[in-house]
Amino acid sequence: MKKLFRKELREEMKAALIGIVILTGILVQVYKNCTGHGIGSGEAVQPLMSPALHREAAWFCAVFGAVLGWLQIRAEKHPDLWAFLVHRPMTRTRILGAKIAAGLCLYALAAGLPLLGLLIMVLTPGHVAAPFEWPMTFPLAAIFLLGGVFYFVGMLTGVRQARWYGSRGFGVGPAIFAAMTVFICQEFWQAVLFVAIFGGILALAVWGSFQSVGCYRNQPMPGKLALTAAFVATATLLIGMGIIGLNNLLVPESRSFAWSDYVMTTNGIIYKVSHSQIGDPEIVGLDGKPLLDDKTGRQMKLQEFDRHSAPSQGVLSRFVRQNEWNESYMDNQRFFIPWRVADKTFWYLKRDGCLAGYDGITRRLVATLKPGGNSGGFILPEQPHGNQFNSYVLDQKWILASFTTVYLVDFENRAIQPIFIVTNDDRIGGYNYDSLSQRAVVVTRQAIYLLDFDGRVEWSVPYQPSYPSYPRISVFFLEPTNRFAVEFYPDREANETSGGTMPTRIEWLVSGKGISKILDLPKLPKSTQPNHNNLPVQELACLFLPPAFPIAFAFSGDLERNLIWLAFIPAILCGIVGWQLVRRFSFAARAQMGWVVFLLLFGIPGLLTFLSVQEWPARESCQNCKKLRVVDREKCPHCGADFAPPEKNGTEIFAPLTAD
Amino acid sequence: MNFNCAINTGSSTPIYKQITDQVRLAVATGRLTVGDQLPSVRVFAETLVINANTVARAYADLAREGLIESRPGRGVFIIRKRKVFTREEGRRRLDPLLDSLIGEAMAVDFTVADLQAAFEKKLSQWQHENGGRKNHE
Amino acid sequence: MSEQRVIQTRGLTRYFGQKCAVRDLNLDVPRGCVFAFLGRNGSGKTTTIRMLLGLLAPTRGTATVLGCDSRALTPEVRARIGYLTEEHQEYGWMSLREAADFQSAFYPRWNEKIFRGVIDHFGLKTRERIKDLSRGQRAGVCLALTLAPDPELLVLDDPALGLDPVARRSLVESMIYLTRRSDRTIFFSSHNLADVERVADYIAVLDYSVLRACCPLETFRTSVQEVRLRFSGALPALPKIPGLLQAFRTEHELRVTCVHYDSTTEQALRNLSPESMEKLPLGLEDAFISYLGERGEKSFILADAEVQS
Repeated sequence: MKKLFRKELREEMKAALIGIVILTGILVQVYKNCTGHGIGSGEAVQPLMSPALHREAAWFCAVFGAVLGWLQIRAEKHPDLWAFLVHRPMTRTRILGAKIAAGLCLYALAAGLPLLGLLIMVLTPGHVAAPFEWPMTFPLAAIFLLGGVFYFVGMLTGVRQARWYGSRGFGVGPAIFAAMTVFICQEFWQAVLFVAIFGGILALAVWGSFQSVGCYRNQPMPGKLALTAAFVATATLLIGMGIIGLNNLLVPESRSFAWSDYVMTTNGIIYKVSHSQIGDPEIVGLDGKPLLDDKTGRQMKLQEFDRHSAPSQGVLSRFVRQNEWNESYMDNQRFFIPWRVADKTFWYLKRDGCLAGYDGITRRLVATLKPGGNSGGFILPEQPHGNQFNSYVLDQKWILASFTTVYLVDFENRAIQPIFIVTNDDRIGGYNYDSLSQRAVVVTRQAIYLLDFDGRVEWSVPYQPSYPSYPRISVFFLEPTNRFAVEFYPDREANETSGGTMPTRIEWLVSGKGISKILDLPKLPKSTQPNHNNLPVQELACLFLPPAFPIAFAFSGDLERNLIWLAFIPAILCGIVGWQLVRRFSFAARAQMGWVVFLLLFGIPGLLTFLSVQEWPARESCQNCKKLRVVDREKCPHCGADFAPPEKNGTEIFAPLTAD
Repeated sequence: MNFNCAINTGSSTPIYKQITDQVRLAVATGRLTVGDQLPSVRVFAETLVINANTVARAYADLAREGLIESRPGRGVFIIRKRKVFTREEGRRRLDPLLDSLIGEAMAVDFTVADLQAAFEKKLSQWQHENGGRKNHE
Repeated sequence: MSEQRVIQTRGLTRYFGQKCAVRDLNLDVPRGCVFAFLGRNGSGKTTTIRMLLGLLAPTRGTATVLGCDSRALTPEVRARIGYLTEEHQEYGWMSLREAADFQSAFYPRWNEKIFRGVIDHFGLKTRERIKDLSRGQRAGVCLALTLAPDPELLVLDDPALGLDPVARRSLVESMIYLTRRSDRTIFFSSHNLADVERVADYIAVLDYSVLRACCPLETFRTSVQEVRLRFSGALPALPKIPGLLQAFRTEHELRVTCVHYDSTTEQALRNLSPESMEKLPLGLEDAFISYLGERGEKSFILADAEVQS
């Protein structure tokens, strides 16, 4: 076995070296993008978590893995060379095992070495100006493992003897599903589990096909099952993609929609703006009278109206603990959020609650700021997530808060200064701020405060109606500047379940004088969304996907329940077609039942699989009963007769062979 | 031992018969005499590049005719010069050969006199070459 | 384990799609013989051999090699079978020495002397890369790698295809060398009837997927008879002769080739009142060509009327 292993290594070494070169090139490119002058362009500065790197590495691993697997099998493309490989005193399984061991070693070399190099670059201080944690290696690890699944796809494509090359590649479904799970799963262990399952199915399919030289009928049963499973996955995937693709290609007939919203103007008056697909948005006051433009005398246009809308700061109070950041393992925001660039120092808000500063030139950690006490670190301000590196600090002041204290961040001295501390057991749930006007809105359990950057409280109102039924607060800055309005917006789900009995509340106040007016806004009419489905997607899904999908969707509520019966029609039809075929070709009794059940379970994708995987035996007419009978059974399934021996034509020469 | 055996494939004479014919001819012309040793089956087969069974069959036929004998541990030896044919047998064997000869002569436009002359010449040549060694029984 | 029959097939059949490549083949190959497997191109020989070695699954029927079902040849049985294909495929990038090292690791009975012997017989050097060798030299390498494990059964699929005469002769010599041991069997297919005549004990003939002959070599040759009938006048129509292979007409002559020539056939021919009738002996190649050629009457390529005098 070692000899075979070494021979395989030698044969494909060239491909592995080419792979190393290509991947190194890709990684160098991405690394430069992340750590070079392109900083602040929206991508993560930590190369290991860069979506571009994940994408390109995934493409490389998938393609290279598949090519490697394919090449290894095609090395013995000629049937006589295949015979040379296989006719030796070693079981096929061991021969295949040696091949796979060598192939995976080469893959690990070609994909692993450059990735390891990247990791070393990142680990060495002075290269990457961003935080590093060991779980950041998980995305690349998952992508690396993904390549292994594609390796088996490549092998399967090479091994299978199929009438047309297209059906050789039909094993690609599980690999694509594996790729999807790598990018979609929340946790690393979930992705690894799926990769292992799909990889295992494909490996089993490769093993089975290798045993039978690429045919289907003579494979051992586990191989057949795995191959069928892989093909069904591919068929389902293709059909699903086809439906979605067709849906996107078709032009929508009509995109009717209607929705309305309340907007506050700077003078404190609320208007209702109604949008629909016809004409301009309508702007109407709470009394129902349309707003007229002073200059034209006609209905105000939205563009003009927007100039009068009041600026605001919104806060979604969450009261979230630091280690409850639960983005996916592939998202860098699971570990840190790039926060500000100040004076060539990159500041990151990390998941442990610290603010970490990295010098842009030396690329080393230069400062770590942490709020005092056991306040649990900084919490996220209410600003759009993602890289704020494009908003450079220019002599501005910035705010960060923990659960109990609001701090002013001094970038020059790399220090934080508390400016506001909540009372007693109160807790900060969220905050927002505007660096230009130097004001911050801080929402605690009990009250909503407006602070300036010295910590002086301009005003505060009680947080009534409270969290969690009203989690969203917005503070509007009206004219003149001592007038404000506070909006309490209800939780959407709670509002729906209560049947819309939770109104939005507006409180007007004057700084220093308290609340002047309270109003509960009337309910808005229900909005209608444009229908994104140009095709009857649900009906198509029921017809063309395996019945398990519509049934599962119906139970989870995404599908209308009465469409389920639509899913049974194709299943039964496919079952009937399959039943006819297995009887016509005299399958074994167990195989007949197995296939019919399979077709009932998997519907049209199952039928596609059945047709592409099976090899149909020839049929000849029986000498006895004259009916057509399959040639791979000794006895006629109709009358039980044997096959007639070949016709003699009088020129036979048969004589006994005696070993002299 | 001055015995060269050459066989042809594709001929209408089977190989084993070619061997027996050549051995018989050699004995008849005196190239092989009583007591001469023939190569063993194995060696002969490998020399001629043919199946050993073919050689074995030839040897079996020759042994049956009484021309050779296998002595265990020592080899295969010629034991008699030639087979005794009755006149009738001899004539029957020669007949087709004579037909061939005459047919060929006619084909190359030999006259009867040409043929007789050629025949006499060949015969005297042969007698001259082998006369000293040919023995009467 | 010493089986009397090294290869045995019962009803071995193989279809490719709708076409039948091998139909109901029944073969018994005894131990210790040289068995030639003959037939025209595309008559199913390679298919049969692949089925015997478990490289192709039969559609129907069974094949047993060295006592083991061909569908499930165990590694121990495979160690005792040598297989040489017509394309002489090995890994071209290996050198001879590397190929020998590679193969010898798998076979416990590897005999380096045999390997060396065959290599020297073909005049090869062990440093050369296989892809740089000529076809004949590659055949030698393949043969060396196949013979060195000292196999009990040697299966050759048209091994002399495309070889120059010297290489072909070396190949035949190696085959004869193998038969030194009486328990070694050779099963080979070939188009080269000269070599078959030299080396085979028994032959089997496949006539487009059907086995039509299986007998000792000599029996085959003597079973096929050619009779030349001369007529003074016009040629009569040919009567129905059982076992007729071919009939060839020229102006005054009718040549009939048939199988199992007996007194009834002779009488039927005499009834045509020929001027002369003689039996022509056939060589193996001619017998084979008649046996597997197109059956029935034929003239030369152009009809008599079209021949310019």
